[in-house]
Parts: sequence; C-alpha cells; structure tokens
Amino acid sequence: MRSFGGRWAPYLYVAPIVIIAGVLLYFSIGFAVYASLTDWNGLTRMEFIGLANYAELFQDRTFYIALGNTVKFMIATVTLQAVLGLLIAVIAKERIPGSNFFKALFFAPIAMAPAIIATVFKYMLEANYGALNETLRALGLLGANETIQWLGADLGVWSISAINVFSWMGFSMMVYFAGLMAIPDELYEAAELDGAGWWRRLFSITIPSLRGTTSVLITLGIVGSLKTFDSVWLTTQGGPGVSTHFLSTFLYQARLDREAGYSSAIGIVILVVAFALAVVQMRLSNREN
Amino acid sequence: MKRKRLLAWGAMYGVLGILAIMWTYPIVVAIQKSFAVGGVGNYTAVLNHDQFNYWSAIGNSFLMAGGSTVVIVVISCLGGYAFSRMRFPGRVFLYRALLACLAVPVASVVTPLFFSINSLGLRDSYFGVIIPLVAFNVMTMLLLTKNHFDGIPTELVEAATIDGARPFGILWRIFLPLSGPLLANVSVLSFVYSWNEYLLPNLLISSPEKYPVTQAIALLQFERMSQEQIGQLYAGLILMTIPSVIVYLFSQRYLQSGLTAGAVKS
Amino acid sequence: MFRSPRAVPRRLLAATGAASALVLLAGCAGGGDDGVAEDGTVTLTYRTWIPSLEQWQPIVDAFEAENPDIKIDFQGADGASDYLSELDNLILAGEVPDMYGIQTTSSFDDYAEYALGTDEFAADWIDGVKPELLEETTTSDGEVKALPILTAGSEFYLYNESLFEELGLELPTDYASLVEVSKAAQDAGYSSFAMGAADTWHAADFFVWLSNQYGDGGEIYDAAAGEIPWESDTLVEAATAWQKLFDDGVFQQAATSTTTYPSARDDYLLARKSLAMPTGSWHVSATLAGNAETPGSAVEDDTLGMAPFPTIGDNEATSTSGVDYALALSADLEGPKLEAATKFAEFLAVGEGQQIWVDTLQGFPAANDVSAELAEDQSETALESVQQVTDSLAAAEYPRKLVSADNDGLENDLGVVLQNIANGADPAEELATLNS
Repeated sequence: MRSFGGRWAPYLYVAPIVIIAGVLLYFSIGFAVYASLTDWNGLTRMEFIGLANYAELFQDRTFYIALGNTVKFMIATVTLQAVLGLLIAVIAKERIPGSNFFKALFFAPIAMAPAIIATVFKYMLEANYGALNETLRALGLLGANETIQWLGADLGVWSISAINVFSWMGFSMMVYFAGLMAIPDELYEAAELDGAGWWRRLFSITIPSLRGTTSVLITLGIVGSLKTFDSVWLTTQGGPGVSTHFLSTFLYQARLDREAGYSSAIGIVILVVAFALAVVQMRLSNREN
Repeated sequence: MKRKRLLAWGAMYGVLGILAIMWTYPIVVAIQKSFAVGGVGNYTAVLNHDQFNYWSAIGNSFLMAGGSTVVIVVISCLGGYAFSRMRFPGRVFLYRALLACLAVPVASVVTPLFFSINSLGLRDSYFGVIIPLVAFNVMTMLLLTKNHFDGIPTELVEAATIDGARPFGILWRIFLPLSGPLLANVSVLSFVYSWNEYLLPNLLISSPEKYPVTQAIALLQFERMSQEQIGQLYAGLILMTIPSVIVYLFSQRYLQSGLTAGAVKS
Repeated sequence: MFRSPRAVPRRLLAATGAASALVLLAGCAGGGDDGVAEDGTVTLTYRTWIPSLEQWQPIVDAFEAENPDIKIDFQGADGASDYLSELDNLILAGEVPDMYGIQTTSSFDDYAEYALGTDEFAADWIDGVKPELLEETTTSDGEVKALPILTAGSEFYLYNESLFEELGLELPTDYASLVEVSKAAQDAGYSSFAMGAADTWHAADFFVWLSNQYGDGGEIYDAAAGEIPWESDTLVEAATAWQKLFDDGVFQQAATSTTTYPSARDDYLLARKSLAMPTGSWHVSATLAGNAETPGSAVEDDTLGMAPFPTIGDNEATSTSGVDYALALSADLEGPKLEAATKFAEFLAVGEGQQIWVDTLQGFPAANDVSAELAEDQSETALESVQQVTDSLAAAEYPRKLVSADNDGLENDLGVVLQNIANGADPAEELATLNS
C-alpha cells in the first residue's frame, strides 16, 4: 500500500485522538494512581501510604455490596436492552406505518437529562404515595396500607436497572437499526426463496450478521454499568444503608467523606475491572468469529 | 398471504404498543409536572428568568456540544480507520490503551482535570469544556467507528488500491460514504452526551454568561423552594430536552437517506 | 509560592500539569491581580453554599449602598457538597477565594488552614459574637479562624395545625401520645411524621439529639472522640428507641428511602399527606405568612406550626445546636482588599447584614443582641413557633454535630448504621462497626 507520509502516516491518523484525549486522560489516571497510594484528603494532606487503601478496600463490606450490585445491574441491563432494542429495530425495519414515531419515542429518554429521568422515576416509585403503588392499589393488587419498597434494600437495584433500560434501550435500538440496514437484501431474498420463515431468518441471518454490533453493545454496556451514577445517586444515594451502592456512588461517597485517596483507589479498581471485562469480552467474540 | 401479513402487523403493533405505554408514562408525568401550579407560566418564567438567558444558554450548549461533536467525529474517523486498516508497530497496544480510558469515571479525576485545564489557561472558556468533553466521549465513538470499519469488505479496498487510491482517498471515497448511519449515530450520541453533561461545565465554567443549559437549569434546582419553582424546574428540564430531540429527528432523516445510498453501493 | 510545606498535591499537579500543558502547546494563565480597579473599586470574591440568591440580593444591596467602592463577586453552589468540591479545586489551584463559607464539622481544620486568624482583622468587634460559638470556629491549634454567622439546632417538627384539628388530635407531649397520634393519623389515611431518614445527616442529627436523653447525656460525643465504644449501653438503648420509632409507626413506611428535602417536604407535608415532618430549626420560616414554600401547595390554606420534638428517652429532651454557617477570610488578603473584606465580615457578623439574613430565618443569630424581626400579620401559631424554637435553642445543652479527629465521614457512617437499624439490624452489632 503506497501511502502519504511514508511509514509515519498511521501515526498521523491516530495523533489527534492520542493528543486531545489520551494525554489528558492518562495524566488524570496517573494522578489518580498516585493519589490512591496516599492518604490524600482532597486538599493538601497527601502522605504516601503504599497499598493500604487497596488493602482496606478489599476488606470493606460496602465494596462487595457495590461490586455485586454493579454486576447484577450489568447483566440485567445489557440483556434487556439488547433484546428489546433488537426487537424494535427489526420491527422498525419492516417500515410499518408509524415506525418513525415509535423510534422517536424510544429515543427520547436518551435526549432527556439523566436528572429529569431519575427525578421522575423517584417520584413514581415512592413507596407510600408514588404513582406506581397507587396504581397497584387502585387495581386491587396491593392493600390499602401496604407498600412495595421499589427503592428499598431488596428491589432497589432492579428498579435502578429498569430506569437504565428506559434511558438506554433506544440506544441499542439505534445501533441495531443502523446495523440491520447494512445487511444486504440479497441474503434475505435468497433465504425467502429457500422457504425460510420470519423467525428462521431472524436467527439464521439477522442475529449472526449483527454479531459485531452486539459485541460492541456488550462492551459499552459493561463500561456504562461501571460508570452509572446519576440514576443511582438521584434515586437512592446508595441507601437505605449501603444496600444500593454501585462502585461509582461508593467512589463519590468516599470523596464526600474526604477520603480522596481511598476514593481514587476505587476509581482505579473500576478502570481495571472495566478493562479486564472488555478484553475478555472481545476475546470471546473474536473466538466465535 | 394477506391475512398472514395482517397478523404480523398486529403482533408488531402489539409489541410496540405495550412498550410505548411503558415509555410514554414517565414522559407524561414529567410534562404534567412541568405544568403544575404555574401552568404555561412555568415555561415563560424559565424563558424570562432573571438569572440566566435561556436562549444564550442554548447557544452556549450548541457551541460546546456541537464543537465537541465535530472534533469527535473527525478524530474518531481518522483513528478508527488507522486502527482498522493500517498496520503499524504499537497498533494493538495503542488501541487497547485508548480503550482502557472508556471507563474513567469523571468523578474520580476532577482534581487533575481541573488542574490541567487551568494550567492551559482554558478555564472558563468554551475550549476548556470542549477538550474534556471530547476526551471523555471519544473512546466510545472510536470503538463504534473501528468496529464498523472492520466490517467493510476488503475487496472494495483492494479494488480501489489497484486504481491507485491513497489511504486518505479510500477513507474519504469508500469508507465514509458507506458509513452514513454510523456517522449519524456517532454524531447524535456525541451531541446528546455533551448536551446533557453537567459535571464538566460545572467544574470549568464560572461566568454565568457562558453557562450551558445544564448549569442554567441547576440554578433553578438550587433556588427551588416553592411549588411554583418546582414546576419551573420541570419546565426547564423539558425545554432543555427539546433541542436534542430535534437534532435526533434531523439525523434520522439523514440516516434514512444515507442508508439507501450505502445500500446501492454495496 | 507554596504557603504550606505540605502542599504536595499542588506541586505534583503543577509539575505534571505543566508537562501536559507543554504537549498541548497552549499558553499559561497569567498571574493574579490585586482586585483593585483604576477607579479605586475593590472587588472581592465570595464563594459559598448559602445564602440563596434570593436571600443574598438584599444583603449585598445594603452593603454596596454603604460601601459604593466595594463590589462583591458572589458565587453560590447547588448545595454544600458541590460547594466543597469547587472550593477544593480552587484551593489546590492556589486561588483561595477572598471570602468563603465554612462548616464547623470534622473538616474545619483542613479549610481553616487557608484562612486568616480573626485576631488579625476582627479583634475590635468580635466580642459582638456569642463567645461560646467561637469555640466551634477554633482549630485544634487554638486559633479562631472563622466568624460564626448563623446557628441551627435539632430536633423540631413542622406540623399542619389545621390537619391536627380536623382529625381532632392534640400535639404529642411524650412517647405514648406520639404513638397514639401516629396511629390515629394512619387510621384516617394520612402518614404521621414524615421522617427523611434517607438523609444520613438527618438520621445522625436526630440520633445525636435522641441519645442525649439516655444515661448521663452527652455520651455520643465521647464515642465520636474514640473515648468509649459505640456499643455502650446508653447508645444501644438510644438506638433501640430509634428502631422503635419506625416499628411503632411514628415514622412512615419506607422512611429510609425518603429524603427530607425535597421528599418529606414536598411529597408529604406540603402535599397534605402527613401530619408533620421532623426537621431542624431553620425550617420555622415555613410557618410565617408570606413564606416562599406553601403557596401553590395543598396546604396553602392551612396553618403550619413548629415545635420541639417531644421527649422519647429517660431525660427531658433539649435541643442540640451549633454554628451552621461561618465565614472565613483568605490568608492571602492584604492591603485594600483586606480592609474591604474586613468591612464585609463585620457587616455580616455583627452588622446590618446579620440582621437582614437572620430575618429570613434561614438560621438563628450568632451575634449578641440580634433577633429576627418578623413581618407583621403573623398568625398566633407562627409567633408561638418562632418563640418556642428560639427558647429551645437558647436552652440547648449539646452540640448538633459530632466531631471526629480521624474520620471526616463519621456523620455519613453513623447515618448508614442508623438506616440499617431502622430496617431491623441489631443495634449493638451495627453500632460496633463504628469503632475505629
């Protein structure tokens, strides 16, 4: 391949992204790595304490609760968003009348600030007078003085997952829809001639052709789960107790408690977990191919 | 045949309908709350607020979100192309190193971030927000772009190379025309992510005349006391959403036309 | 350049930050200015989380009318935690605001490090501030580093008098009547006391107040200081009583998922769904005619009142109180800026500014001889409420906030433990997790 700029050409292509994003992020990460090895209080106290923060972290019961919640959330949201997103994208591709309206409706939550979504859901899911429980009472499914604690210790993580599906399912739908459009029509026509039905075509053509898209969505889902913050902080703040903490809210709470060094250690753990999961996921999807 | 088709349509509408109800309900609640107590007055109160000018906040947001979107699209196309189709030492390492940044939580790096932008002399400037917006959002887009480019058949590239096309020509004349829907998605997402970002401008912008909408709305939240002001807060949040929905609708049109163009060529 | 020998993060950031700055080929920011314009106007920066803009406007108007050559560049924040992270960054960037708000919690010493000692500018008039409050703005090294401006106390409750009357109920006076009133409210389809137990600060405030009603009182401060274990009999007894408040239905169901603001206020009290809500002294303003909160709500036509929360434990309940807001001046101030800042500090601490702010009832006065002047036409209930709260604060025996030398996050940790106890965890076991 003859190329402009000789053997340095590839570096010219990647230079902008490395300079604008890489340098800034790696400086920040580098600082966080250093800070995680100190007893930094967010201001000027910053004495080197080695791996003490990490040692403490791995013995902290809140860490395991937060990690568990993050994983539950990850599995629930990645699966639901992929299934629903694909379903709607496939339907939208049939171009039935009104499909653009539906697509806009499912997209709308992405455009809504996380603040508004979380506030509305918090109001809907409130145990005593929230719209959801009131509706259940009106339908006779819930007794007059009974409550379901949607944002309580048991159901909180699942409710937060539902909020995330509401917000981000439209994203999976968009990406799948774009992917669907790239599948050549001839494939479908050939299959139809062979007498393959709708479901057959879905499983033997559509889903395999979208494997790359699915793999990207899973990677983004993993990363997104680890970064999920607003929908937790604005609904439960990790409570009651620490029962609905996620890694990101746990990090934030530590910073509020002026344990900035400890908080940095949590941030580094998040990065490592995200990277490990992303690599494993990419390996797996490469092997399938 | 016709009956079968009708049945299929019925099933599809059934699925869409049920999901649509679930998706409409919270949106309706938000809209209803935005009219609570003050009615339409909530909206005019936000539009004529004495602490901020809604239209200039919209302008600021467009500048920051639009600026970062343009940069993200350009650099992720260049980078995605190189990582997808060029062979060079350090390629895998560099790509992995960049992807590792996907999960950097903004909250964990506020201090070094503030310090970098401050020492660049960019604090309280549009550029000072655009750079970190690009940094935090571009990796997602790089992943999407590279993945899409990986899927473009090698035969097309080979044919063009034989015709004497250079790498940039291949990117420009073959890859980009085949990437209409992808670019639409990447642009919309970068735009919406940046539009909804609160933490970064809040960290870096201090003059009220440079506030983007998220910061302006936060003023409403900060002041919130009376029931009327709560209505105004929701009205503000709805007003803030409208521009990004419009951007999405426009991109949809582009996406549809871009698609047919791509389909004919492949 | 470095005032503090311990300024490691700043130096580290400066070194690495400058390196990345070079890579990005951008210029560096210029040095600071002395804040004095050519026409002699001095501009002071003021960073804080309260007053709200609405409260700030009359304060600054009055000040600038008196001092036309001083301008104040005021910047509020969306709450105390947001404010602190902004302040942290400014301090690390070496740009300490000329004047900044400061809390008298465990982090006081950290922020006081950048403040000017009050004896360097306030010596002439600091005796106008209540002396006992100055203890709270004294660092562990014994230096007074900030001016107390407002005080606040716990635990009170805001109640809907009209609803009490409608249901034929009397205000509770002891635990038995507290339970009785709550039961009656629930039977009538209302929530009783809408407790915002999701806020760790509120759970902690309530418990500090409650715990002083057991044993000799005041043991919780010893526990916070690490002198006695948290699972001491007295504190376990108090925690058991706390648990009972939830089990006996005094607090609503799922109270540990309810925030005080906005939830307990907006979705319960102002929505006319609950009889009352426990809160602090700052909220007595809601009882006044012309308050900003009730218009447009479901309780618009009702009369609201506030009273001290009834005694639950063995000893008579007394309110806790303490400095809610203090003002610090930057240690970097000198010359005309210091002079100007001194004027403002005096104005806010013991002058007209104090009066204006106190009149909003956002807090109670830290200055001697100042008391809130209420607008006319107040209901009898409102007048009585303000009087009761004022008297109760005056009789306060214990501080509202705990101070811990080695755990800045103690309040949150305690709040979490209390939420767990409220949801059925064993009080002694939970409290024991707080021992460091």
